[in-house]
Amino acid sequence: MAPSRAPSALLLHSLRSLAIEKPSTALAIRAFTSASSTCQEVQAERPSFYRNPDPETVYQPRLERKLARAGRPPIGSRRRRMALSQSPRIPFEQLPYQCFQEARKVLVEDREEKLRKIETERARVARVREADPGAFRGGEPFKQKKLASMEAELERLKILADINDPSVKRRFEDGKGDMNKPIYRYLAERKWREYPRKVLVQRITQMNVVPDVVPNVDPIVDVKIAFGKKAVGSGDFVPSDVSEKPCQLTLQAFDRGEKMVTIAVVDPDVPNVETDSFDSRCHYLASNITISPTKPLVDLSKLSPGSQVLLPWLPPHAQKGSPYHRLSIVILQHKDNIPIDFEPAKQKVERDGFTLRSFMSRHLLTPISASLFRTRWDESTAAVMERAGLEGANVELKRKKVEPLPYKRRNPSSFR
Amino acid sequence: MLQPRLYRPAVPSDTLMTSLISSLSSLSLCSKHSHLQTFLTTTFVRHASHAQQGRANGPGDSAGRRLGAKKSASEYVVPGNIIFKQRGTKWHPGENVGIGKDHTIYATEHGYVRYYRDPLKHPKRRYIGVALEKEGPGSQLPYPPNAPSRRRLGMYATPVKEPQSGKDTLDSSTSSYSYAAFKTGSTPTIPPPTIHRQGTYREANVSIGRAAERKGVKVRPYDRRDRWLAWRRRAARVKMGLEAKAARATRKSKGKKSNKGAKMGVSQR
Repeated sequence: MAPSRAPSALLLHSLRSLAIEKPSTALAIRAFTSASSTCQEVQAERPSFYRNPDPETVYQPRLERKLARAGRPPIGSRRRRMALSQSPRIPFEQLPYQCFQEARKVLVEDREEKLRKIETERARVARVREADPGAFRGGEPFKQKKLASMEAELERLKILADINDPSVKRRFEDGKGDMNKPIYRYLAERKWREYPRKVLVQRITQMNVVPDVVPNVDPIVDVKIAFGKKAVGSGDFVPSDVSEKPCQLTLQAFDRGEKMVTIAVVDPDVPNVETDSFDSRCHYLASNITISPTKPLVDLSKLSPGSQVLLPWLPPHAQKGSPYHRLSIVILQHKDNIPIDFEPAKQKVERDGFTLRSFMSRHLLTPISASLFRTRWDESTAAVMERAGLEGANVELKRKKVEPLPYKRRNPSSFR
Repeated sequence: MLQPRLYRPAVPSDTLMTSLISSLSSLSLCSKHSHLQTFLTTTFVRHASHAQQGRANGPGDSAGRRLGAKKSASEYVVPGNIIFKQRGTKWHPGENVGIGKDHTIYATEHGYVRYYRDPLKHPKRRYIGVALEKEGPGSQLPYPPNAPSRRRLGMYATPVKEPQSGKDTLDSSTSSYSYAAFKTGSTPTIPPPTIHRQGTYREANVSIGRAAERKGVKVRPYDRRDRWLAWRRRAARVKMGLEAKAARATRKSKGKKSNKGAKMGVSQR
C-alpha cells in the first residue's frame, strides 16, 4: 500500500501546480462596476510606479536598468511586459471566452487521464521490482531491462502530463522552472538541442577538438564558459589577461540525478620546434566534482585543492607568431559515479605532454561534453607569462621557408 | 524558308521511264499503272538562309583548357604547388590542401600527394591530400577514424625583435613633426615653419591637426547612448539655425523695404 500512497500525494501536488498562479495584487478581482475605484486602490497600494517598478510589467529601458541594478531583473520579453502592463490580468478561469474555456477543459481532462496512467504505471513498476527474477524467463537481466523500459515510459507520461500546461510553459520561459521536475528538464533540453547544442557540436568538430583531444563525444551536458562576469562563447578568442584567472563553468545536465565528473582543460597546440610538431599540455585538471541539474555551477578557482584539483590553473598563453591555441574543456563522467583515488592520480599526472586519452583509459572516464576557447599572442601575454613565471615570452616563431625542388623538364624528348 | 516547287524529273530518267512504260504497256499487264505517266510532285526544301559560319552555330571547338592532374600520386609538392585543375569539384580538397575559386587543388604543406576516398567523411567524394611523410604509418590518407590529426609546425624560433623606442626614431627621422612623430604620440611642440614652393612659410598639415592638442583642448569622448547630451546639442543647433534664419529674414526684409521705399518714393514723385 505504501508505494501507492506516495504517488497519490505527488498527484495532489501536481494537481495543485496545475492551478493557475493568481496574481498577488488586487487586480485579480475584476471590478466591473467601477474601474476608477480599482485604479485608486492600486494607486494607494503603490504610490509611484517609477519609484517602485514591477519586474513583471516594466517596459521602459531606464526603469529596466534601474531594476537590473537593484538585482531584480525584468521577467520575460519587453513585448510581454508591455502587454501585461496594459491588460487587466484576469486569471485563466475567469476569462470570458467560451471557446477558450472549452479548450482548457479538454486540456485539464487530458492531464487527469495522464495522471491516472502515471499511477497505474507506478504500481506496475513496484510490482515488477518486488517480483522474483526467477519468475521471468530471461532471469535478472530481463527484469532489469523491463524495469528500465517501464521507468522510461513513466518519465514520458510525466512529461506528457505537463507539456500542454500554459502556466508550465510560462514559468519555463520566465526562467523559473524547477530543474528537479522532469517537465522543466525536458523543456530545457529541447531548447538546448534546438540550437545551442548544434553550435557547440559544430565548434568542437570544425576546430578539431574531437579527434585531436578526445576520440569521440556526444554532448549531453550544456557547457557555458565565463571569466568573471564575461561570458565566452565556444571557440571565442579570449585575451590573455582575461584568462589569467580560472573560468567559471555552467555544466547544465538534463537527466535526473547527480553526476561525478572530471574537468580537463587541455591545450593540444603547444609548438615543439625540435620535433617540428605540436605537443599537448594540461592547463587544469580537477576530479570528483559533483554536478546535478539544479547545481550546474562549477567555479574552477573554488574547488578544493586537497581533494579535487589535480593540476591548478595555468594561464593560457601563446608564443608570438605561433598559430592560435585551442584551450579545449572536456567534461568526463566517472564510471558508476565513483570518485577516483586522488593521491595516486595526483602523483601520476603530468602537465606537459598530457594526453587525455591515456588519462581517460586509466581512470575509466567517458566524455559527456566538450567546449573550447582560443588564445593567441596579444599585448598582455608577455606580462601574464612573466607573472606566471613562464619562459618563452622573448621568443618569436616564424615560418620556415620551404625550398621547392629544382625545375625538371617533364619530357625532354618531346622538346627536341 | 520552305517553298513549294513543281519540278520535272530529269531528262535521262524520263526517257528511261517512258521506254519502260511503253514496254510494259506493250505487255498489256500494267494497264492499271497509267498514273505513272503523270510525274509531277510537290516537295519542301530548305534554302541556305541560315548562317553557316561565324558564331551562329554556337562556339566551336575551343582550345583545350589544360585541365587535369598536375602532380601524380606520391609526388613531392611544396606549399602553393597546383595539384589538380578541374571544372567543378571532380576532386575535393582533403588534408593539407586548399581549393581555389576555380576549384584548383593546391598544396598548403610540403609532402606527398595522395588521391583517396574517405567514406566516413562522405560516401561518394574523391579527395586529394598531401601526406606529411613519405613512408610509414603517417603516410596513409585518410587518417584512421577518431585518431588525432598529424600536423607540422613548420616554424623556427627567434628572439623577439625589440621595437625601437620612439625617441630614437624621432632623432633619426628628419623632422619631429613628421608622420612617425604623429604616430608615436610624442610631446607636441610647435614645429618650425616649412618653406613652401612659392617661397612662403606654411605650417605642415600634420601639425595643424595637432593644434588642439598643443593648446590642451579637452573634448568629451562621444557616447552614443548619452541622449541627454545629444538632445541639448541638437536643441542648441536648432536654436542657432532659427536665430540665423531670423537674422537673415530681417536683413532681407530691410533691404527690400528700403528698395521698395525708394521705388515708391520715385513713383510718388
